[in-house]
Amino acid sequence: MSSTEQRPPLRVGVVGAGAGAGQYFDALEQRVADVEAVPLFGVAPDALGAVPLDALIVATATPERAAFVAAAVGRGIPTCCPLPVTGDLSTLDGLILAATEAGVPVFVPNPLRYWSPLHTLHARRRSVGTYSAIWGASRTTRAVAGDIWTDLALPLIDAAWWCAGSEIERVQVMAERLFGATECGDNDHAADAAIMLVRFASGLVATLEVARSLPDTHPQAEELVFELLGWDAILRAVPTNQTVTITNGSGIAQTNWLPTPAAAIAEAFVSAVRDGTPMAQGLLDARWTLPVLEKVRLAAATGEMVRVGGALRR
Amino acid sequence: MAQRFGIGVIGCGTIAQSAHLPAIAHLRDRVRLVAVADVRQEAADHVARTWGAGAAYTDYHALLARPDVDVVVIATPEFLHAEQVEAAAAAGKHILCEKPMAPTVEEADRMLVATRAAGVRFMVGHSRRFTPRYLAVRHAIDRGEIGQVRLARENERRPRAMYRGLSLSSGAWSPDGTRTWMQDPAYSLGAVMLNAIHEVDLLRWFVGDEVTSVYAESRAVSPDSDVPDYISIQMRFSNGALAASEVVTNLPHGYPLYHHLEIFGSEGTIRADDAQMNTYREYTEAGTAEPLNFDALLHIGTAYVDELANLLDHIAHDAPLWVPPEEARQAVLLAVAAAWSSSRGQVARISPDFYLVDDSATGGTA
Repeated sequence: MSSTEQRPPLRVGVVGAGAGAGQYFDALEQRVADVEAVPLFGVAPDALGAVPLDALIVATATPERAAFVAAAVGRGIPTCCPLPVTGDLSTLDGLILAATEAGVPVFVPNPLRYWSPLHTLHARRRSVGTYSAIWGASRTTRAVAGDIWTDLALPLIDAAWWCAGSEIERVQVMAERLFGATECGDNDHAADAAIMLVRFASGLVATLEVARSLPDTHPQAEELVFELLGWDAILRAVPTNQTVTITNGSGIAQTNWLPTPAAAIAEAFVSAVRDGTPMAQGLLDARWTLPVLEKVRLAAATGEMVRVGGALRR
Repeated sequence: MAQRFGIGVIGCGTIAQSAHLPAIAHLRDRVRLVAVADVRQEAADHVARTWGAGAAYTDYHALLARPDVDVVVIATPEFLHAEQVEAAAAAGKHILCEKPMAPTVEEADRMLVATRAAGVRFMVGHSRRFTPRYLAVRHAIDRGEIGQVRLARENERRPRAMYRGLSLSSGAWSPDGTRTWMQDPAYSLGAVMLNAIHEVDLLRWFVGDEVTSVYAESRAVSPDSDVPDYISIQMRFSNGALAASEVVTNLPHGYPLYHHLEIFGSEGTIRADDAQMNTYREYTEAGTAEPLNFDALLHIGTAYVDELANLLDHIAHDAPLWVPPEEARQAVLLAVAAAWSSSRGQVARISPDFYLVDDSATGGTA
């Protein structure tokens, strides 16, 4: 009998009722050994104690995440909450303080870093030689909820920083409400599209484009492209060609054959909880993104270039 | 019988040899190549021999003095355009001037004044507006197929091998014998004028509105260039639409998306790129390569021919110009604004009368 078989299954709750929560639940069920996935549909944060849990994955809409993280930390439950936990810095600082005092690990992975094409791009980034530029776009249609700043811009900026290997020096953002979005989350400018130019201290420039509420005629409900342009090579992460396509008498079926970000995140989280190893991206690691996002939103609101350097504290 | 125009070419470098002279040859029923001029005697002689011009000059004024030259194609570096267009207009020649129209708005305005005063027909070679796929995009927009254009992007990524090839095979002019004028900050603003002026022109054309502000970041990566070989530009239009363009000229070979256009409208999306354009591919241990297809990239077989034909129709039949020179002047303004912004790290504001507004401490206009 192996050592893993001697351990009882890890009970991992998944809170949330959307497609994201479903992906985490499926990942735990199908890809992670010795785990009991516990669906927590419609459970309020203060009711978390009703179900015995060893760990929790928060996969709700962004505005609901912080309350679940706080409740889990309060109960000493190791928690995974994908970026962004919250768009509010003071709320995040409160969570950091609570988690630190309680000694509860909180994993805040950027799902983009666990997206296989981008993960591979990052691993091979040194092969491109001197970087010319980064280009990335994250777009959704009206069928997908979310806010362009916290849900689209923030993970994209974090991914660019992750690949750039340099601090952000300045940003300029042009944002507008272009597609008539009526539900823009916490987006006080009601913008549904933005073009961001991010200059890093190394001189590297990232052009990042986010848009939501694209017409539903757009070919993909969610679309992500990320490119690293270098002197020796160009690396391009795209969401196409990741599928197995089966065509038969029943029609055409496509299956994603690469691990989804949810699967990779679930595996990493369970492994860290089980082994007691540090989380790759904790609350403190995620903290720097919010001051940067504030600068991004300031640039969008004022239409001026905004220097970022002093906003960072790691 | 239709008039057959005598044509002269000023500047015998890359774009003349790769695009304009083939277009002239293609339209030989309508034009005859009379003379060419280049400050380099050997370049002028070579082109005259190759393309069948009867005369080769090192002083373009000699070409302009010929009464059998009706039309001149100016294919020199942009810092020479204003002087040469003014001289051609004064000589009563109709003019096709390669883009960019000029390196400054002031020079572009001088060219407009000179050609209007002389009553000659004047066109700037924004060849992309004659490129079939961009024409198809514009027509689709005009038909309302994607609603109102809200967000647009055109990226252009060129391999540095293209420029090395240009220098070696076509003899781009070099001020010091070591690098081309395109790499020298005394003569060029770099990627913004070399390529991005195409992109800002296209984006303005597709959005169908005027730009109110521009922001850009640029950098020089190539070790042999002191001018930016990368620029990323944001533009905001008066109707609220946003547009962006990234132009890189230093990339390694093989990337299939040399041009990549995306237009998001209120009702739909248009995409157009080069992914399927290169039909020749090499698969080796080193990876996949798509050897350069310069003719295809420049759409020489169609765009430059149609461009020249449009000017000839304009001269002969008063047909409307597909790219009026005032449009080319606006493209210069946007490119200058992008260069200004990237050098200062500031947003360039453009006033309703289409001048770059410098709202820094010094005031005035740029």
